[in-house]
Amino acid sequence: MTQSTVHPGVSGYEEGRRAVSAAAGKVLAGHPPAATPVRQFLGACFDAGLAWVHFPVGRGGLGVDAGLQDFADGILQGAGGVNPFQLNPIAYGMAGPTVVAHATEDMKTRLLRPMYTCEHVWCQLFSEPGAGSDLAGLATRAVSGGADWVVNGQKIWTSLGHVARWALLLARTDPDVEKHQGLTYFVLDMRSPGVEVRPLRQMTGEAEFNEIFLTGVRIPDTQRLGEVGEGWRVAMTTLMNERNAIGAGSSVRNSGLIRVPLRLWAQRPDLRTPVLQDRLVALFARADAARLTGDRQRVERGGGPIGPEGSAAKLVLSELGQAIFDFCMDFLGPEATCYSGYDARHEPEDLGGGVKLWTSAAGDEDVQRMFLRSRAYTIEGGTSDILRNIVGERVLGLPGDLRADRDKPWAEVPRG
Amino acid sequence: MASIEFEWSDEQRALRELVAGFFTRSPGDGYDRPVWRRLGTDLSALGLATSEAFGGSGASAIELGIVAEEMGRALYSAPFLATAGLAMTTLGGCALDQLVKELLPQLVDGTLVATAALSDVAGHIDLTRPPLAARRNGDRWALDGSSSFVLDGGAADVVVCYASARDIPGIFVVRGDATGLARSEVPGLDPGRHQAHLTFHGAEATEVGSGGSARTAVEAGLNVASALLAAEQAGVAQAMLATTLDYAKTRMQFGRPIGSFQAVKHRLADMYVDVEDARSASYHALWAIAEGTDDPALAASLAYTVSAEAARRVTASAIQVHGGIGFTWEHPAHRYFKRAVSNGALLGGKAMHAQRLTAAALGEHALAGPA
Ligand SMILES: Cc1cc2nc3c(=O)[nH]c(=O)nc-3n(C[C@H](O)[C@H](O)[C@H](O)COP(=O)(O)OP(=O)(O)OC[C@H]3O[C@@H](n4cnc5c(N)ncnc54)[C@H](O)[C@@H]3O)c2cc1C
Repeated sequence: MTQSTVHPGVSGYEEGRRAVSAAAGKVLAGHPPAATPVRQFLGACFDAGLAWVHFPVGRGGLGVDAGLQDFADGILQGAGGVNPFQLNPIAYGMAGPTVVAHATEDMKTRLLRPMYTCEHVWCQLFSEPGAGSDLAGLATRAVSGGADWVVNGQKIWTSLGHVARWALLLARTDPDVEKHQGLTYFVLDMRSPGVEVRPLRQMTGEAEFNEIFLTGVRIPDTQRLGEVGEGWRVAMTTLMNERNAIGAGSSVRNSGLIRVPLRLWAQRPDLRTPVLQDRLVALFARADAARLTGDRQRVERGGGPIGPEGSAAKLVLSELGQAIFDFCMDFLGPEATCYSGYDARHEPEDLGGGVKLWTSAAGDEDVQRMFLRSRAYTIEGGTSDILRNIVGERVLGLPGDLRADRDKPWAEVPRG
Repeated sequence: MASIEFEWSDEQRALRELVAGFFTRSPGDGYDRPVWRRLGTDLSALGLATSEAFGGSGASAIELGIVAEEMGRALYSAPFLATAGLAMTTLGGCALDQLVKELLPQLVDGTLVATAALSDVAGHIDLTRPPLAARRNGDRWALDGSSSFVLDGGAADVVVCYASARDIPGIFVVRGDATGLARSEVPGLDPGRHQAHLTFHGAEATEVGSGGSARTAVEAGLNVASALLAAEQAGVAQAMLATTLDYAKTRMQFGRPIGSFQAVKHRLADMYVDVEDARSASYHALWAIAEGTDDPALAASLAYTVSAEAARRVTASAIQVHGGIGFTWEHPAHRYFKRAVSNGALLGGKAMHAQRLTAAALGEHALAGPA
């Protein structure tokens, strides 16, 4: 896997640390964040190999230990640099790692830099009305038509689909084999003819995800990632990185979602009660333990790729996040019943040059909105049920469940 | 030499293997005096955090934590938390004293067993309020009062007492057989964990520390013991996760292993999450104490709290997943469960550690109230 790619010039962790430190120093000296347009600053980071430090030199990386990304981000963001994950989460967290591992060299050149500089926002066309948890059961068809593929089908719950320029697409190329065997992976230019995006309103009132109709969409074969029929394997790179991106907590105490109730508690002495205090301290302990487990697992991996334990981290942080907002609502008491945000348009903050802060349209202050949004934590990126299956089967080695679709061609599996 | 948090050295790995082998193979337990001596001499497990000047190995609390974790895994019983955690740490903070210089080497080599009396008759620990009173008696001291729930208070040859002399906190050493000291063992929910009720009627004592530094030394002992207890809980939880996992893979019902049922699988996934957090929090406390990576009081109480919850849940789940056999006297699950539950009430109990955590987490915003 790409995560442990080591550039021949840089061997040990310490050497890598020095390389990162030197590169970051140079970027900050030449492009001080306060005085540099965002896109230009991000371009400088990419060129210096600080975008994804474990990627090869020339591809946005330095070929060093992936564990050093935190170190790099600490220096850059500490000096006022933007957090690329908030600007282009799917590109930064999922598309980059998938493209660098599976795309042609030419496509890497075309895609990586603009996704990092946020010139191209990315989205993920995986889920379908008939295939969510059972992603490998998806029905969108891609049929080979010479140098191009022709795609027909419907995707759903596509975050950022309404603004994305590029998409990660998983489609079925062979319905007559077992479901995992018949998938192929593509990157799709969202401006291609036949791509139609319809926003979906969600329970917060906003439309952050969409349904996407694909009708006779042509995709050049050069935009295929991995072999025909190998799409599931490529998708695993994406999904692992998705869970790790969501599950990778910060190693700084109280910098995760627990900051929200701690701040509320400090601001509102009038609402404090002993019972609520006990609950808050119990949440603090859970949050801090989860933070320490993240730190420990990072050290134990020694920079190697994250395994299925990344799914456990996503499981823990998503359920903790919900408990945190449940607490916030209980803390607010009667005030919690008020909300005027359903019709508000949460315009993402524009950082200049069209670079927008897609992931934090509302501030920490908007507790009711975050509470409502938190119901998605345990659905998006794999539901908690699915993650517990993964922990049970892939981390602990328990036997799989009985399956009605085992060894059957996809076309013969019941759906609904 | 500073070490990176969570990164075990080769020596530490070797120590873990050595003590784990000993705990699983040795007959009897650490309450057998010859076995206790072997822990001190053959394994050098008691003086790991004690300076070489007193016969210790000059390593750190991290190494003591390895011993505690493996004790938990093997459900090994020994007066280890009391001796190496509470008493030796506290005495180590008074190491300029002549008596302490004599005692430490005998604690390191397992000649003596020791404990500390910090709790009041209800088992509460409040460092601002020593449970015992000290008064001058010629050139010696005499102690009065009671201290309950004293870990290994019955077996201890040496009791390190927290007492105040005219409102000044002090540390006093009382011999287990001193006149004026009455001890009665408290039968335990966990039969492998020994506690005693100690009554002092002018018990003969030697002062080894006084004032602010005495309180600091007592607090250090409490922090180390809490971190060791948390490591033990992590070991307890790991053992029951492993046992339950094996069972879930082999026990067949409805023609398939019970671990393939989601309800069972998900319970095991939650056990795994608990085990991981107990390990992280307890190791962090050990590193905070040994390497100063965090405030030791906060880290120790965090570890205590997290691992107490985790170990109780994991051991209770172990009984549940085993079904009827899990409820029998023969099956080890109940012994682990009892240790986890009992451990979660030692050293001041969950409420005291929650109080310390509250102070650390909320600072000036914490509600004022009884500690
Ligand atoms: C805010 C948000 C953003 C999203 N963004 C994207 C995106 O950008 N791109 C994208 O492709 N997708 C996206 N998703 C989709 C998300 O990945 C799916 O919703 C998720 O995988 C669940 O699929 P589903 O909705 O079809 O539910 P289902 O799979 O139908 O699940 C319904 C219920 O059944 C349970 N269930 C299903 N299978 C099992 C099983 N084997 N064992 C036990 N329980 C089971 C689930 O846990 C759940 O509770 C997003 C979702 C949300 C909420």
